[in-house]
Amino acid sequence: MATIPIGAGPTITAQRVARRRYRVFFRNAPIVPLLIVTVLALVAVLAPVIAPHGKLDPVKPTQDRCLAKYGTADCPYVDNVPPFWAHGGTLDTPLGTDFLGRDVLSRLMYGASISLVVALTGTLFAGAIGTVLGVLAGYMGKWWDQIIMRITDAWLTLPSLVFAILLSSVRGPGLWNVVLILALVFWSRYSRAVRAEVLAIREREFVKLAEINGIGKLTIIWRHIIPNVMNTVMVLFSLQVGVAVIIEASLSFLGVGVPPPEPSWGLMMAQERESLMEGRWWLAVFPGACITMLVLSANMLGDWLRVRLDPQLRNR
Amino acid sequence: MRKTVFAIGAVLTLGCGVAWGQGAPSASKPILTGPLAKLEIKDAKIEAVRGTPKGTLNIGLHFGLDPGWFDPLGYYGPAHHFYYLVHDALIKPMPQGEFTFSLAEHAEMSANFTKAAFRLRPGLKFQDGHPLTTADVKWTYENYRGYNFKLFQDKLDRIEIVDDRTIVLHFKEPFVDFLDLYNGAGSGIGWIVPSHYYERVGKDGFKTRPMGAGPFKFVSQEAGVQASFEAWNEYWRRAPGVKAINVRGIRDLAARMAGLQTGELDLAYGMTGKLLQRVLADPKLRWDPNFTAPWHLVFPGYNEPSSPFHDKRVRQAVSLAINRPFLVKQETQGIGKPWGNWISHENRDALRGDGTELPVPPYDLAKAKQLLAQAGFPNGFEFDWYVPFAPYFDMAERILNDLRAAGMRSKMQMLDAPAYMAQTSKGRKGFPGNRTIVQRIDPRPGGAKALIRLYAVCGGQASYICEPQIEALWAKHEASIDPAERDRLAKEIQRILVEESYLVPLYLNPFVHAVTPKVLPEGDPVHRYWDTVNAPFPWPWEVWEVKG
Repeated sequence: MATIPIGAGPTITAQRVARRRYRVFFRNAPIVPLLIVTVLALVAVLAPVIAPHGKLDPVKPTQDRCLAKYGTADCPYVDNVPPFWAHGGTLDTPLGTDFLGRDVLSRLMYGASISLVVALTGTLFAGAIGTVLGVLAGYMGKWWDQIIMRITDAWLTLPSLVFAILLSSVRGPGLWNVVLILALVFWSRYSRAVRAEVLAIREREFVKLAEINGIGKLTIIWRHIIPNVMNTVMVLFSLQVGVAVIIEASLSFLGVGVPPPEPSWGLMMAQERESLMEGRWWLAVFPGACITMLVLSANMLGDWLRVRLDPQLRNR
Repeated sequence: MRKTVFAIGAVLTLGCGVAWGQGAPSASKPILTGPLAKLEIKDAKIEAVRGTPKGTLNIGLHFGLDPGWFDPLGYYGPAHHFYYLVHDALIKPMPQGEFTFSLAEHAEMSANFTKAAFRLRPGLKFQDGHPLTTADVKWTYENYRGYNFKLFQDKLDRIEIVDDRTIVLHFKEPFVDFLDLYNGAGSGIGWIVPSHYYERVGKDGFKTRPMGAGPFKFVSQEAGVQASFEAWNEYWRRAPGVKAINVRGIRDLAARMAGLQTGELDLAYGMTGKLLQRVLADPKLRWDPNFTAPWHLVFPGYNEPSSPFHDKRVRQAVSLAINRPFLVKQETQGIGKPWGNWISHENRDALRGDGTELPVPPYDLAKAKQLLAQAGFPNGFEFDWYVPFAPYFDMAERILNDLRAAGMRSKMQMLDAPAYMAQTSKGRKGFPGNRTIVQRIDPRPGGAKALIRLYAVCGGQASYICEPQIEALWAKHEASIDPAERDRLAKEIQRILVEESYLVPLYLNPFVHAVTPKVLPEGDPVHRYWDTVNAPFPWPWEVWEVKG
C-alpha cells in the first residue's frame, strides 16, 4: 500500500496565493485606461522635472523667430507657434505655444497635476464626509437617519454644475476653493449609497454579536461597519473622479474655477476659444483631449472596479 | 383776398395774445436776476420732419447687463448706455457739444455760482403720457443716491419751483462744478425720473421695468443677459430711426464675432485681442477705433504701510515692468497708443499723456527689478489679486506676465462686469486687503475734475487715493471760483498722481467696434454715430438707422 508522507504533497505557498489573487483581480483589467491614468499621474507628479519649459513663463524666443513674427530682433515671446509637425512649428515647443508664448505641452503637464489634485482631493473629501454621514444615518437610525437623509435628499436635488457655480461665486476662484466645492457638491451621493449598505450590514450576525457583547457603537462603526462599506466607497470614488474632473474643467472654463495664469485644462480651453476661429485648433483641442482621456479612463476603471468588488457581478 | 389776410392776421394776433396772456415763458427770457455766469450750452437739433422708425438694431455688449443700470437714481458703471435709450436729461453731451440742451431749453447760473436755473421745453411728457414737470426734476434731485450724491445734497440749500417749467436750485455756497456734474455724463442726477411711476413701482420695480422720457421704451429684459427696447415715436427731438433695439450681454469675444458674421448682431463692442485682426480683415464689417480713455492700474489700500505698494518704488516698478508698445501691438494690433495720463485727452483740463505734457512711461525691466530690490523685495513678492475689467482677461494676463518677469507674482480675479463695476464703484472699500492691483478705465465726456473728484481725493465716492498733498490742492480748487486757477490746480493734481505713480497709466484704449452692412448708410464710415466727444458708446440712439 502506498503511503504518502506528510508534507510531501503539493504545497500552496502564501506567495502563490497572493499571485493568484492578483491575477484574478486584474483579469480583464482595462489595460489602456489603466495605462493612461498611470501615465497622467506620473506626468502630474513629475511635471516640474520633465516639463520642457515653465508653466507660466513664455518660452524665450530666438532673434530669428522674433524677426519672422514681428519684424524686430527683440521680442518678449513668440505667440501661437503651431505644433512641430505643422509649418512654422519647432521641436523646442512640440505642441506649440499659446497667446502668451507659453509652451502648450508644459502647461498640459502642469495642468494634469491641477486636474488630478483637484479631482482626487475633492472626491476624497466628499467621500469622507458622505461616508461618515451615511454610516451615522444607517447605523444610528432614528432622528440621525431622519435629519441626515432629509438633508441628503435635498442636496441630491441640486443640479451639480449650477450648485458648483453658485458656491464658487460665493467662495471666489481658487484651487482649494474648487476642492471645497467638489466636496460640498458630491458628499450626498456617498451618504445615500453608504446608508443603504449599512442598513444591511447592521443586521448581520457579527454586528449583532458585537452589540450583545456590549461593544460600544463607535467601535462597532469603526471595526465592523466602515471596513465593510469600503468596497462601495471605492467604486463610487473611482466613478466620481471623472465627474469631478469635468466639474473642475467646467468651473475653470466659466472663469470661476482655478484662476489664471495657472494652467488648468478647462481654463486653457476657455482662453483659446477665439483661436479656434482663427484656425489655431491645437490650443483648444489638446487640453480637451486630455480631459476626455482622463475622464474616459477614470470611468472605465471605476466600472471595472465595480465589477471586481461586487461578488455577484464578479462570479457571473 | 383782403378779408382772408385780415382773418389770418387776426388769428395770429389772437394766438400770440393768448400765449402771452398765459405767461408761457420764451426760451431766452431770463430766470435769475443779477449777474450771470457765461454758459456755453449748445442748442438741441430738432428734426423738422418726423420719419418712421425702421428695422431692428441688435447690439452685442461686451459684458453682462445689470438691471441697476436702468435706474439713474443709483448711477454707477456704464449706465449711460441705457440712460440715452430710456431716459432724458436736462442737458447732456451730444454730437453738437459736451453741454447740449435736451429737456431744458434754457439754463442759467448766477455769477457767484450759488444759483442754477432751468426752463423745460413746453409739452414734455414721459413715455406713459404723464407730463414731465419741474416737480419731477426736484424729486429726482432729492432722491438721487448715485455717484456724488453727497456733494449734491451738501451743497443744496433749497429747490424753488417757479412754475411747471421753471426751476431754481439754490446752493449754500458756490457750486462751480455744478453744471459739469449735473450734465448727463457726470452723474445720474440730471436724468429725470418719473416720480409718479417710481413711487408706484418702487426701486426694484423700476429696475425691472424702467420708464422715462427717452427715445426708446423699455420692452423686456432677461436680467444680466439681454434687454429689448422699442422706438417711442413721440420723443420730442425726433422719431427714432430704428424701430427696435436689442442689447445682449456677450462676454465672449468669439461669440460676438460669430454674431456679427452670422447677422445675429449688427453692432458689437470691444473687438480686441485675438480676433481684432479678423475684424480688420473682414470686408463685410466696418469698424472704427473710438479712442475712449487710457487703461490704468490702481492700488487699493496702497497708503497702508503693510501694503507692498505703499513704497513709491514698487509702484514705479509696476509701471516700468509693463512693455506698453508690445502690449498695444498684441492687444490692439498697434492701434492703441501708450499713454502717460489716466484721464483721456478729450476730457477738459486733462494733460496729454503722449509726451507733450506728461511723458509716455518707459519700459525698463532691469530698472524695475532694481527698484524692487531697493524697496526690500530682491526676490520680488506675491500679491493677492490682479482684478481686470471684464472681459479684457487676455490683456490682463499679458500684464500679469510682464509683472511676473519683474518678480511681482499674482493670480487673476475674473469678475463679470456687473460685479466688477459694483466693486470698483466703491473705490478702495470695494477691495479688501491691500495687496491687489485693479485695472480700470473710465471713459466719459466732461472735465478731468470730475474724475479726480471721484477717484483721487479722500472724500471721492469711488476713491482709491487719499494724499495730504492732493487734498490741499483740491481744497484750494474747491474754494476757488477762478476758472484759470481751478484748471491749473486740476492739472497739478494730475501731474502728482502720475509722477508719484498713485495710478499707473497703460495705453489709450481704441474701443474698436464693428458694424455689419445692415447699418446705414451703407459703405460709410461708422464714426458718424460716435460724434459725441469722448463718448464710450454711440449715443444718441435715436439717430441710428438700419435696413428695414
